[in-house]
Amino acid sequence: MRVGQVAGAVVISPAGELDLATADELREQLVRQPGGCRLLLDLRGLTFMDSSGLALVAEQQRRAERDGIDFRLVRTSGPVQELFEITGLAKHLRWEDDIPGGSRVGEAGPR
Amino acid sequence: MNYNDGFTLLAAVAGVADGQLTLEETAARVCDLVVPKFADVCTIDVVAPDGLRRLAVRASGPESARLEPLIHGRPLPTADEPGVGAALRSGASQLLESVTDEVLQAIAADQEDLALLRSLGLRDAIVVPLNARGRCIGALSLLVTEHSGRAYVREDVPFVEVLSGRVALALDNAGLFSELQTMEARLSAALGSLAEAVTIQNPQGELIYANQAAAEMMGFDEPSQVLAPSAAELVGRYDFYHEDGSPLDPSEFPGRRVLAGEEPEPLVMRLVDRDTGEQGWRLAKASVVRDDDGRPAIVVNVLADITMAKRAEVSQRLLAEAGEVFNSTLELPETLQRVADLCVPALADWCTVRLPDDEGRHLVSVAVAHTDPEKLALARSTRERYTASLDEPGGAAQAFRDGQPHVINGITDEMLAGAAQDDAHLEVMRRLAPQAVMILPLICGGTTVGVLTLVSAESRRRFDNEDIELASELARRAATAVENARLYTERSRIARTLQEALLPEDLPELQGYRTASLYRPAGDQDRVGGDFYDAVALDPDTWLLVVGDVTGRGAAAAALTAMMRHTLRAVATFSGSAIQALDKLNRDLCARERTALCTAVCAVLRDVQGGAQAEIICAGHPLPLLVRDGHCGHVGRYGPMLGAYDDEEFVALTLPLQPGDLLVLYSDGVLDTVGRDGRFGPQRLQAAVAGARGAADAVARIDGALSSFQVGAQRDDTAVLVAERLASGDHRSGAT
Repeated sequence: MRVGQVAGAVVISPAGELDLATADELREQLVRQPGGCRLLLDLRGLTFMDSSGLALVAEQQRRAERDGIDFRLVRTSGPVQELFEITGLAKHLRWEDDIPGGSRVGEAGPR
Repeated sequence: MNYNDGFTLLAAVAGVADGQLTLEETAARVCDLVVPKFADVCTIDVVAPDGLRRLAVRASGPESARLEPLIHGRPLPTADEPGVGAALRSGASQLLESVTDEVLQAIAADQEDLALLRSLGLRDAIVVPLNARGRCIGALSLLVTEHSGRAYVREDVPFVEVLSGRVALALDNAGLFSELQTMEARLSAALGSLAEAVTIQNPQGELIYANQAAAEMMGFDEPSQVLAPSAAELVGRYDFYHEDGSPLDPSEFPGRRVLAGEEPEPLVMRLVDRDTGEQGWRLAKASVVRDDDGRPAIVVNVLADITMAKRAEVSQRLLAEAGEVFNSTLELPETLQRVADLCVPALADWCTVRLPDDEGRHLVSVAVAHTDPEKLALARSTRERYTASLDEPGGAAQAFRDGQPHVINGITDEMLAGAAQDDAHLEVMRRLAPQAVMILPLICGGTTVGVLTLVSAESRRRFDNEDIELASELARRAATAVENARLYTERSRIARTLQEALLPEDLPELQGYRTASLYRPAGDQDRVGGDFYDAVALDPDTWLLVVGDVTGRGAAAAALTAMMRHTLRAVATFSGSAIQALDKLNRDLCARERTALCTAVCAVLRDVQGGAQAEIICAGHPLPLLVRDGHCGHVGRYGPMLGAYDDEEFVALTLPLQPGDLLVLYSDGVLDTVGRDGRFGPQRLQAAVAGARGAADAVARIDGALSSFQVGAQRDDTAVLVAERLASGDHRSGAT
């Protein structure tokens, strides 16, 4: 998982599988972000996600609404994106096709 | 004088010079060789730092035993004495022929001495200085008396001078030897003050030197006592072991291996005194000292007593390993066995962990370890047959009741007989041959949860205070681990019970359908939660089938699962509508403080004009499968998941059912099962059920496919519920 700053936004890019076993690591990163910030969750590095990941996103969406966080997701393709569509969550979330500013994510950021 | 004998004498004296005799011994041997063949009386005087010293006297004849001490005790000659005095003063040989009384008076120191000299009947005397390496070291005196009637003549003097040269050499060598001895004394004083035990062996492997530390290490007061018994006896005092507990053969000692021409590494060994059972640790090093020809002359062994350091190391390692063991497993039987394994051989030869049985009446042996596999089997066999009653006096039961350690060093046969429950038990006990025992109660939070028994047998070691301390510390930690494992086991049991409570005990009988279900809980069974399935009658002809999935695991997820299941069941039963039930559940979940997400798939099975239909409602859940005529496909339409947004709408998709149709509801645990080639996925699931003949067959196929696909522990719960539509004439229905 990479965490970086791009054009004033925190970009979190989880990689690999997001399930019950790995959700806590991402959750820790998400809850660490302060109210009022801009937060971008880049899903493109994920190869698998189960309902634990969905729950995490839904949870973060609730927190974002409460704490005034500008929370967006970078769209991916395949089963991970399908899961958002299948569960009806997709239409409630704000999506980006890429990271605004276009640079690669988190090259300089701490892991 | 017979000169043929003379050569024999010279050769003999040379032989004396080669031997390793002391100065006194050398002089005495020379006198023995000379008297009586060449003289009636022979004396040897040497120059010592503090004056002349009479080294040896030999007299012949029946009076010799009386005379020798008298001659030995004679006052030492002054410089003007005509015999020894003159020889030493002038450095020249003195021949006294036909000694007169005047000469005797000149020789005698006083009247008493004169009387002695007169009684000898002295006739002739040759006194020759003893010269060695350019200095005069004393004088050799040969006397003949009237009793033998022999005489010395001038021609005899050169022979005696040759003889004296040899004698001087022998004495000088002896002096060197004694110097060497002095050096050895100094060396031994230096070595003696060393803390390390130092021993020296000759090439035959016999012990020829031991310092004070070596003597003490071997249990003696004095080094001389060490040298007295043979090496075999000495070695026999101890049993030796490698660090790993295996017996150490004396042939493996560095000293022996050096003699065998090897260059051994320093050896760490544990030794146990056979008499006292005391145990110690040694670091043994050996080096060889070679003679001029390169042959081993001596082997120097240095044995450092590393008992203290080793003990500290062993106990630290034991406790560290114990910590690891206790942290790495929570399964009670495994934990206990590893406790036992840890103790052997570091602390004992045989270890047993005993716990009270469920009724609290007996102590049952639950883990055994022994250094000897054969004895292990024997020890195991006893635990099956013989259990200690908790109220019996002494032993483990006593320690369990008192909460106090119980230590016996020096177990006797009477003790065994007293403890044995019958003759066969006694026989086994005798074969196990315990020597000493430590029984430690396992106490956690003030409660004794079990007993740890450590027995010394083959190693014959006794347990001292440090052993007891270490074992007590280990017991303390083991007790905590046992208690943790017990709580864990208890929690697992509760978790399983809870899990079972989340599922319907038996699927009800559905008119016109045959149902089958599969539930595969995730690998770590203590973490309940996750999936459930249910079948609820909405009215006599209408059934609601549900498969649900709550994200997360653990107690919170379990509570949510229960809430979800019962909300759906209650609302659907009262309203008769699955959609209303899902709406209510969704709003309830959204109202919760903490985000609680669930997915569910509902199938409402309804009899309609001319047949049956299924209404499929999918709430964020994988779509069900319909198997018809060997073909398989998804049915239904995706809908929103539960608990995310409270304004969602759930829509039902209606599907006519034909006899033989299989409707397969499943949780995402099926699709997400991990195998060698990734996730199980929808294709494998469809392939598995496509040819299924009936509900039970479909479930069996899915179970089989998952089992052969899965690698490692199951990560997620897996629930499957299959409904098979029966032909109208087929009224047999039921659940499997």
